[in-house]
Amino acid sequence: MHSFITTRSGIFAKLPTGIIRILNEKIVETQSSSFCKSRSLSRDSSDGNNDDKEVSNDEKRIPRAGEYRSPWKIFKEEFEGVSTLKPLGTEVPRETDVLIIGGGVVGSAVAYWLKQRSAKGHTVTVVERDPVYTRASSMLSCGGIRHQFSVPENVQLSMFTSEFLRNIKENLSVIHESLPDVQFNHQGYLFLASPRDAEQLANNVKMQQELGAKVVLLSKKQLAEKYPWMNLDGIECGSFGVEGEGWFDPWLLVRALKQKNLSLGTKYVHGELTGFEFAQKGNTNEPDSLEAGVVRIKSGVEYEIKFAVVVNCAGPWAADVAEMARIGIGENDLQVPLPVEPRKRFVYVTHCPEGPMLDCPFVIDPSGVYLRREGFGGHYLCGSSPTNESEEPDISNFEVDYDFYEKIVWPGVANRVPAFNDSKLKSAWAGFYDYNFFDQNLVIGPHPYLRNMYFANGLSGHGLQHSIGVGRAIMEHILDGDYKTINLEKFHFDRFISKVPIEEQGIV
Amino acid sequence: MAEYCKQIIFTRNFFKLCHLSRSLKKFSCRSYSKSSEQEKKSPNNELAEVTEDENEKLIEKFLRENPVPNPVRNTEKEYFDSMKDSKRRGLFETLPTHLTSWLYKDYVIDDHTELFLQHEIKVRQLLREDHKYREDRVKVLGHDLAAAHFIVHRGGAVKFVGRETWLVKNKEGQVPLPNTCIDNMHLEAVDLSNTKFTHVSAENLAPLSHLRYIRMHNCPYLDDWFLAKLHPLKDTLEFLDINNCPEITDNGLSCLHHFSNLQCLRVSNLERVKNIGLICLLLEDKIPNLLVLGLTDDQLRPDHSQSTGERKLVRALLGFTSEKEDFIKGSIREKFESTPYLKEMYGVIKKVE
Repeated sequence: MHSFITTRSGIFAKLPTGIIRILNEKIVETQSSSFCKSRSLSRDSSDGNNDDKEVSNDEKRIPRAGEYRSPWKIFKEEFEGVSTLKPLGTEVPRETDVLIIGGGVVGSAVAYWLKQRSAKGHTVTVVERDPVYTRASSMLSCGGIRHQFSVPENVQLSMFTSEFLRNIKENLSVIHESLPDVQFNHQGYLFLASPRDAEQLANNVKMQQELGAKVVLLSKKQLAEKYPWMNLDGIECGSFGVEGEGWFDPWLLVRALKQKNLSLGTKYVHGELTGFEFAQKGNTNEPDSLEAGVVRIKSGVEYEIKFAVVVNCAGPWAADVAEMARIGIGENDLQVPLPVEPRKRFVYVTHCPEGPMLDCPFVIDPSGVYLRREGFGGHYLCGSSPTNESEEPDISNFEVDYDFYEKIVWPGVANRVPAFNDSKLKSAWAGFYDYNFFDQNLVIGPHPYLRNMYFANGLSGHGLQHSIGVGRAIMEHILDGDYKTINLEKFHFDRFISKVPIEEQGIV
Repeated sequence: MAEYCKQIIFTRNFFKLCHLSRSLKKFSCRSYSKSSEQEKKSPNNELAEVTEDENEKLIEKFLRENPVPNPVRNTEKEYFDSMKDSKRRGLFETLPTHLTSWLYKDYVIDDHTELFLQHEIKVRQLLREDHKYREDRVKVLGHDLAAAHFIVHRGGAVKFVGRETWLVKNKEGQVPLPNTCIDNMHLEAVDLSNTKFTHVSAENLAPLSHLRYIRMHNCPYLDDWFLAKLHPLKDTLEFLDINNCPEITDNGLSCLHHFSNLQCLRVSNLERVKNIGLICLLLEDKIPNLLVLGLTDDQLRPDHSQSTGERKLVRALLGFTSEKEDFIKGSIREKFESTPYLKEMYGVIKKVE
């Protein structure tokens, strides 16, 4: 008991052992007396059960900071914390400056940039229900990064991520840990274009080169010389990213971001968001802003976390979080919902003994099939996105549709690379896109009505390569009030209200 | 009677004079003198009335120019109005961002590991800033001489086309290179050994048009990004020598397939390259006329096999015939000696070492 006293601070550190024993005895007496009262009540009337339920209901939800809570309960938790070495507020804080829903690569990037700007100036809490990321979108992706988009802001976001990964040892180093490394493969992306799309591809390459990306346009003859193993029937030209494009391990990036966040003081909560609490103004009936989030942890207890700003980084389930904030089910400005939903995508691992080896880039076919090498042993990742809405797979589970490989993916890959006629499917997995079915582009920035709810989702398959830039943009908008580096104002929620989509051809 | 009228006029003017500034004194005196000159009663009254009207106008003008503040002030409203003013800047808004970040950072100064980490991060940042591509240097010197100055000043060595000597910084720290642009002076070989060049340095080497030979020994900061950024040299580079660069990994060596004219690749002491034998074999398959030096038999053998027969079986499964194996094992010296360029370059290496 003495050792616990010495480690504590405050008035309890000075209490001798005898007083603590007396206080413990008082607690026991109080509990026994309450037990006697309930027993007597059960004898006299049938309302005893209601008393028990009321007592149990009081502990189901811990109120947020600023709300009344019985000092006796707080006192009891303090003494329980003495024995379990868990002081008050260890699991879930009752108040935070920024609450981030979702701890994937986008949520961790937002937390990193907020903490990197001012580590002790504000508190950041990340709520994640899947701490080992078994269902995260970035974990189950191919890990590709490219600068070849048709919207200039997307090119800038990817180029910033390449720059961040280039200097990852300066950005994400933590003491007592090895220097971070994301296993970056510098193979580049190769976009093939049919004669119909050749002009659009040339215009895109010109725009990308003006922004500083190292992208070259290759003619059919150049493609034949550079990639003799490729069948170029139906191909007019291709664009190849020479520098800063390729693929890397998403898990290593998220792990480095998370351990950097923890070293800078970010709080990670293993729980699930179940709802929001609204701030009621005096005269108006309609809530004006969000005040607290309700988080249920694994033991079933619900906590209310009071925040100033909440960032919705829930990925494919961002629309559910937005619906908890009455976006889509409210009135006036809250009528328009967030058009983000989960879409399932398959990644197939195949082995081809005679396939291309060192000179195999990330090939994107005009039919939508993609192909890339995995290691040096003849294994390749390939896949495709469905071209029709009716062909979208079921999202209720993570099962893989192998018929999709036999009918769509394998014929497409073998048509482009004839060596894959002799390939064998080894394994496959399924992952979710946080698919923006309005225009397949980013949703960022505050909600027009609920100004303290920020969106960072809807990246539709290229979230991993844009996450670092999106995190920095959210940080700039929260702390500086506007974008400072890359202006992403066209990706705000306002375009869903005005129904003006943004065209992007680079969706794979 | 006249004296009495004079006294009344004087008293009236004197009383009003208390509210005016000194510049109005002359006007009042003049009007008084005029009134004193004339003896009639009615002209005196007319002049007095005119003077009063003009004085009132002057008083109003004075008050308009110098308004008297309202004694009943709403200081709270004034405060909030000034706070809403966007031009007004608070105390902390004037501090730069990096200073506030530094002030809020939690430095643990009693842990030497933290100090070493911060020092390492700072060193990398300073090196990155120092090795940036500078447009003004290239304008004055041209690409080749600018790159030569950049390399020699930081401890490297360079060699130009048509000259036999390697240029290094002498003991006094002087660089034997011209300070103006000279035509037909092209950089042929660079030696980056024992330097701290980072991946940013590749931007200085990329525009060179005659670079054939790069040597990198004991470079702790050169990584895969440096090799990936050398892509513009894919038609000219012929000899690459990498030794004891701890940041080079498999992904960096796999970038070398772009160099279609590479004739000799020497790799040794690369501890983070796991499959160096396999990658070098693949590079030899991809690049014609390529000779790989520096590999040992252990590195060419797959990890999971212990016997010669199993090694051949694994190589056969990977698609390589036994002829290549014999070529690699027995024919290295013969091909090495039969190539004049490689012999010359080997002599250069000996001289440098």
